[in-house]
Amino acid sequence: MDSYVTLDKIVRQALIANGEESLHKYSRYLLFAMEGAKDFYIDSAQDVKTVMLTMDSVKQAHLPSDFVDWVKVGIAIGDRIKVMGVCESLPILTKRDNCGNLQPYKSDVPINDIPVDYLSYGGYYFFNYTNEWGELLGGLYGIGGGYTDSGYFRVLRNQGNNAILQFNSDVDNTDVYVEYISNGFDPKAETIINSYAEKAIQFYIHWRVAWHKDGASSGSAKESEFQYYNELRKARIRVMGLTTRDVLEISRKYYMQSPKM
Amino acid sequence: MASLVVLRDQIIRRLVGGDQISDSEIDPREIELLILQVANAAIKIEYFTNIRAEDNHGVSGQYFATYVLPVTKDPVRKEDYIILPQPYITLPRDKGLYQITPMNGKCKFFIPTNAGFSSLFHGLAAGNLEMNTGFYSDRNKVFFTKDIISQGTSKVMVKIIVAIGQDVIFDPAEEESIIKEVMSIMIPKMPQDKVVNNIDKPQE
Repeated sequence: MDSYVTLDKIVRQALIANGEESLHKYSRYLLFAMEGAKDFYIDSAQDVKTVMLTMDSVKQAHLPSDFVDWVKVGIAIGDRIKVMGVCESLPILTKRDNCGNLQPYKSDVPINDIPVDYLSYGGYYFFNYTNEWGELLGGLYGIGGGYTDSGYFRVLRNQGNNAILQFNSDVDNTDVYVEYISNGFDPKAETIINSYAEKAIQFYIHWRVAWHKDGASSGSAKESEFQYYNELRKARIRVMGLTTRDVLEISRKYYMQSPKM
Repeated sequence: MASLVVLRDQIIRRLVGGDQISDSEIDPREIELLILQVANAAIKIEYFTNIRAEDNHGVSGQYFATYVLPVTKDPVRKEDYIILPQPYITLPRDKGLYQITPMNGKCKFFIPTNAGFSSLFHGLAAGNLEMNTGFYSDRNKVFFTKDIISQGTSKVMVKIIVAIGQDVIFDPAEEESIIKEVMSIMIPKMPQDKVVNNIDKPQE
């Protein structure tokens, strides 16, 4: 069995299985096949795509058209990735110059321009973790989370055809490493599918065809739906590939000595 | 299995009550045309009978007419097209235009679409037909969704469903019904008798 099959092949197989003797329903079946493939890619495929994006002058990077959700965003340093943090308070750019070009927000606002109220803190300050010479005494309890120095990003959707990564103004690197979940479709290439999902997608097509068929009983559509979910279940099990060895590995990983009292 | 000529001669003999004589008013060309017209109507009926009987969406290969046609570029629409030499039978999903294959790569078939395809599938991932080329008919022309001339395709092989030409072969099971249908058209009918009286001869 090949590792991957083309969606074209799956569509032709579904046409044959449904008694078609020509390609006249190809585009309709392809539409259904892509829906099924999309479901599989998003929920089950565990296929993460990687791309290096270049940030523009307004600290934005345009995500690929097949982007569904992000897995990891960071900066490549040698053979490691310095992961960036998510910050939902980054603004969606609305500031434009006279020519209509987007302008970045800047954090280097002169301190005198920041309102005094904004700077004043109304809570308590604690200094009981140092001595009079500024030496740390320990007992620094309950302190909140810190900040990452690798920068922050926010995913902006509904900003045109593709989603956008907006970075904070402190990020200096222009090349950004992104791992993301893809919908599996590249408009400039044939779609390939994990062979494990071949039958599941075929049955998805049959289900949708039965569902939209005039005069078809709801029972036949329900039967097709049941067959589809059964095939999807099998595909997911195969993709997950959890073996006895994996289970043993996990159990050993979390086996540790406990302190004796 | 009778050919067009055999069926034609059979019908003429029945109509004239023997061999055709030279001063007969029956034109063999008209009989041939009628046979093909009746046969084409029968093909359409057969298609729907097949669907009802066995959920079979195909048509017998004996009704295919095959042509090799040159591809031309429309200067206004900027699309490649071919001109069909013969109309085909209209079937659901335009299946009368059965198959088009590039002559420079016969294993790569073009995908049938319809005239509304580009607007309906615009922006959809399925719209690129998995990198295949689609085609749709527009009157007597068939347009392609991609620039196939630049890909080296100057000629295509087209299969359409229609009973046409001297070499057409008829389904033996339908020969009798074709003969009967043509005969019923050819036998002159008496003019209607519009006057109510006891005279047999029709009166206006």
